[in-house]
Amino acid sequence: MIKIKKRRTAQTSTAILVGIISVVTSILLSCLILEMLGYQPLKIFTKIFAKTYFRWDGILENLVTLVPISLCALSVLVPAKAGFWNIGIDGQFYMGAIAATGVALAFPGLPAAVMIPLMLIAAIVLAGLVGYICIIPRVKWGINEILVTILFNSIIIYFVRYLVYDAWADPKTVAAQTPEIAKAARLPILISDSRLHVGFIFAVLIVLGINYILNNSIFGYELRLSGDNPKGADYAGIDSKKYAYLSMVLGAALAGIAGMLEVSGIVYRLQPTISSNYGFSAFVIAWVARLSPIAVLFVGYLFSGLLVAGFKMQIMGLPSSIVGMLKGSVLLFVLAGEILVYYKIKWVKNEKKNIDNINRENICKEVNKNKLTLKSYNKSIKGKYIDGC
Amino acid sequence: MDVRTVIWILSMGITAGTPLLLASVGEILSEKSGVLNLGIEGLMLMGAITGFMVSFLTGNKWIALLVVMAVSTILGLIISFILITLRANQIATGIAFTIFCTGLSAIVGKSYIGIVVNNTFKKINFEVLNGFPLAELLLNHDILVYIAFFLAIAAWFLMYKTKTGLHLRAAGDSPATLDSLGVNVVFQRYLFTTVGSVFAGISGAYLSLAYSPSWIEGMAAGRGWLTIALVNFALWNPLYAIAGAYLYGIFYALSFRLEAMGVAVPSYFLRMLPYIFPIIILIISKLKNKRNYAPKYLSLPYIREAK
Repeated sequence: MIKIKKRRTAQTSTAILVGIISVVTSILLSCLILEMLGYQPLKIFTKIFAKTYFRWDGILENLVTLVPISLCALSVLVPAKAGFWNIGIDGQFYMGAIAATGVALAFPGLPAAVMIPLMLIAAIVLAGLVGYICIIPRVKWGINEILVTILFNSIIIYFVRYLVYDAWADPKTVAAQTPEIAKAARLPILISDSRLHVGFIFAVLIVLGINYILNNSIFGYELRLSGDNPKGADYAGIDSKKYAYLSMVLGAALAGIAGMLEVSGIVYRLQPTISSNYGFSAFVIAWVARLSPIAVLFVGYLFSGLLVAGFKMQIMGLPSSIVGMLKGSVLLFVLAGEILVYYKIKWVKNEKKNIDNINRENICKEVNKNKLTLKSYNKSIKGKYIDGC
Repeated sequence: MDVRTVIWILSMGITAGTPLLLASVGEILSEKSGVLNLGIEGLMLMGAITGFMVSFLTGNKWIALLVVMAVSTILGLIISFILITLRANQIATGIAFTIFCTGLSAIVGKSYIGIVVNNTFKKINFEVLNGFPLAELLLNHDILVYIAFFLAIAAWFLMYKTKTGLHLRAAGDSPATLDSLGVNVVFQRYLFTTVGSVFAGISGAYLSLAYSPSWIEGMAAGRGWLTIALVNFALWNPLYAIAGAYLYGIFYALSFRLEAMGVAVPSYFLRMLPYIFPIIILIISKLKNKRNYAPKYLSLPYIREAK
């Protein structure tokens, strides 16, 4: 019989092991599926994936993708720490992108020193506003924030389509996009001949900053407490409603910053495809990183490689959806493995012995309570020998 | 608006509401037993591609439906194992499952994009009845519409009028009581989560075999998430789910019709309405009904030793 006992604290070493096994198993599973469908998984994995992880240009490209997805992962992580689920990252990301593009298109004459901070502020405000709207129904009426944030994704996507096809459409082409933003609105490139822009440093600083705030400040402590133990937080006089609003607005603002950096650093215009499902990738990364901001950087790097490989496969006409499937299966395996992290699983030989164990515990309790010596107790139950206590 | 337009909108509403009805009845069964299955969107996509593929390969829509049910059973058992036996976080698992199935359905369906399948569920047409508006509205649908309707009523009957239904509701509301009566809580949850997954799979097959007979990547288009919202404002009752699903469908139809009637609002904003509508309904239903209808042990794993 299998006996499952809860551990006092999560076991970090098991957690890391589970993560590694999950990645390996997921890759094997996707190889199997590709093989069954008649593709050549070995070729795909060695040629495309090796290039993105082990070649200099591949690594740079990974870092470019790391910028939005690490920020988006934080956007899942911060509300999750306060006990809320933000699944509306895609919408908030686009809201940031809309704000940044809007500012850049409305004031094309501004110098860079004014333009870029203005775009950033607009992105934070507009995306934060979306986060705020999404959490109101939860706090006021107890409506699940998962539904509201997910539905807002679709709403905002239609708004983006309206902008790129209609209101802000680029008159020069029929493609779904706005005109290019001014030179002053573009972030400088860090390493020449690559797409790595200043936003990378900014993103890493934000990740470190969020890590510091969550772990070393009163704000972070109270936020985590209101998520881990809402009743306890109430007793301690912490206003958990305040943290509901703050965590969600902060989370949404982070996704907004990611959207702004993508417009200002990479695409230089608004397109309805700039987020290639970053929202779900971010969700996976945040949970595989077990809601640790520092781990987000590493897990994020691993997954940005997958995304880059996905883009390449798409260009080559290969089934790039394998990347999406891989993301899902990694998280599924990690979640399935959680039981090993939080519980101790023991194989007990048979049930009878198990009952004896319970009896022994009871007898031990009685022995301790009545301050009997074990010997005298043994006598009273007719020679049944009990060790321990 | 003349009678024809009204009939068109109502009739389209019933068709558009049917996939939501099927999926939400399944989700009600699973949530009532205490398992929050957020993998509906993924299960619908898998149902859609499986149904389309099998119908294309065998040329028989009924075999396709059977295979969809078999595949959904397997997927349902997998998600039940992770949620119930391994006690994983139900929200994160559901979303991960949806991501996984979205990817898998896209890979499997890559070569089926743009293919036309002839053997699909077509509208039953009684020529005799043309000219009777009510008959046209109620009798001019494909067979799955009626199956969905009767499944919803059957689910209601099962839940509230039978012993099995009592066990099902107890598994979600008070699993410890059920356990003390000697009924296996884990088995109940496995059973109804899997049945719920099969419903979601059929709902997906409805999309690709009846609603818009084709395969498009991600063709569920958020219907899985709308289902979860619908279950919430149907107060976990299959009969209310019928009303909710058709109401949603009518609203959906209306947002298209307004466009055709030349309303001055850009169509992009009209397309947003089906997503704004559930949020508003959720808020209204919460304001009207302060009581919490959710099963008490929803999304909590049952552990016997825990006190």
